[in-house]
Amino acid sequence: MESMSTSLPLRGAVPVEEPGDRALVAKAQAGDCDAFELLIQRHQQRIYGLCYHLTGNHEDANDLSQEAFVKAWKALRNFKGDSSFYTWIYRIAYNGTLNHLKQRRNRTPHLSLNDLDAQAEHDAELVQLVSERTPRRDAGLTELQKHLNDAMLRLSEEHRTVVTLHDIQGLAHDEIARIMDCNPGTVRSRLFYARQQLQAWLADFRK
Amino acid sequence: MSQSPEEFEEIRRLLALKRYEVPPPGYFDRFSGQVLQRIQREEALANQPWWQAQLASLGWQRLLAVANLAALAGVGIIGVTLVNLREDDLPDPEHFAALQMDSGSPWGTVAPAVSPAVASPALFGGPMPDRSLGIVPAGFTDTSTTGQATKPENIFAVPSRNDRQMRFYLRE
Repeated sequence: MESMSTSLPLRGAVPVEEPGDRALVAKAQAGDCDAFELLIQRHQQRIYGLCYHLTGNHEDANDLSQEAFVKAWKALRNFKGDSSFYTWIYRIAYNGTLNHLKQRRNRTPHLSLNDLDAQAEHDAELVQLVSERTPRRDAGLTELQKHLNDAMLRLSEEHRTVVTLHDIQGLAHDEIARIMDCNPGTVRSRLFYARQQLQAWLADFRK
Repeated sequence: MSQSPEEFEEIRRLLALKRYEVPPPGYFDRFSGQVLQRIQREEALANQPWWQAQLASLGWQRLLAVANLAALAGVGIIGVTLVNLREDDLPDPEHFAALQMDSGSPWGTVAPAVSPAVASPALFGGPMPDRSLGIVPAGFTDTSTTGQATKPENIFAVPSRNDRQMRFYLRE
């Protein structure tokens, strides 16, 4: 099992352009595949996470996140560096996932809960949340996740994206605004609305 | 739109649960390699001629299915054509019998291998010995007296289906 400290973004750990990104991008632009592989390894978990939380299943997330990096490689020569590579690749993944979701609008999305990380059971905060604060004390993590995922999927794609990027992946409003190509005020209002909706739908688990 | 940090604290904690949804172990170890393979594959496809790329995009299973369908269709067309040819080319037995009775010969009327015009003495530079068997080609009359040829009967003409049916009906 991969360690959570490396595989999951920490709350508040706003991603910044790591010193090596620009140099790696320059090498990759010159055709250096090793440099591009390092860039992939550096950002793969967050890109996958975005695709996963938007689509709700591993197969689509796998395909879309890989596709995002393939597109990035093809467009790398046109990357001027006006934004960070991090924002740029996020934007590619976000737009690709949105297009995918539009195409499969009629299909029923499903979030796979089988991949719940075993470490979740050792997270004191979460265990407390499930075992003490819910009215249905027999509800386990899986049931809670099912309700949570159902609620997430009821949100619109834009609202789900904001919640994913801010509350799950820990990005700042400004960063989200650049990725979604809107202003930070819109991000804030979308976040507020999305949380309100989730709060209403998950009322049983909050009492 | 007032939004205090505590207002959505419980929702935020619930959402934190989703951070634990991770792909199977080892997935990210293979991820970059899979992306690079995909890039190489797409670049190889881009360098191929368009028709090869189209074939490759179809996939072997589809190509096999299309080839099977084409083969089946070919066999079907050939079969139908053969059946039709056989039906049309089979001479009607009654037609054959009528021809034999007209000629009075068990061999029927036989067309000469060389036409009279081609076998004229002028062509060969002199009179030829009379080796004729006295068989008059079917459908021709003696034009030496009338100077006009009648319309030859086409002995190879196959009676139409209607004729066959009509004859059959009359015999009954």
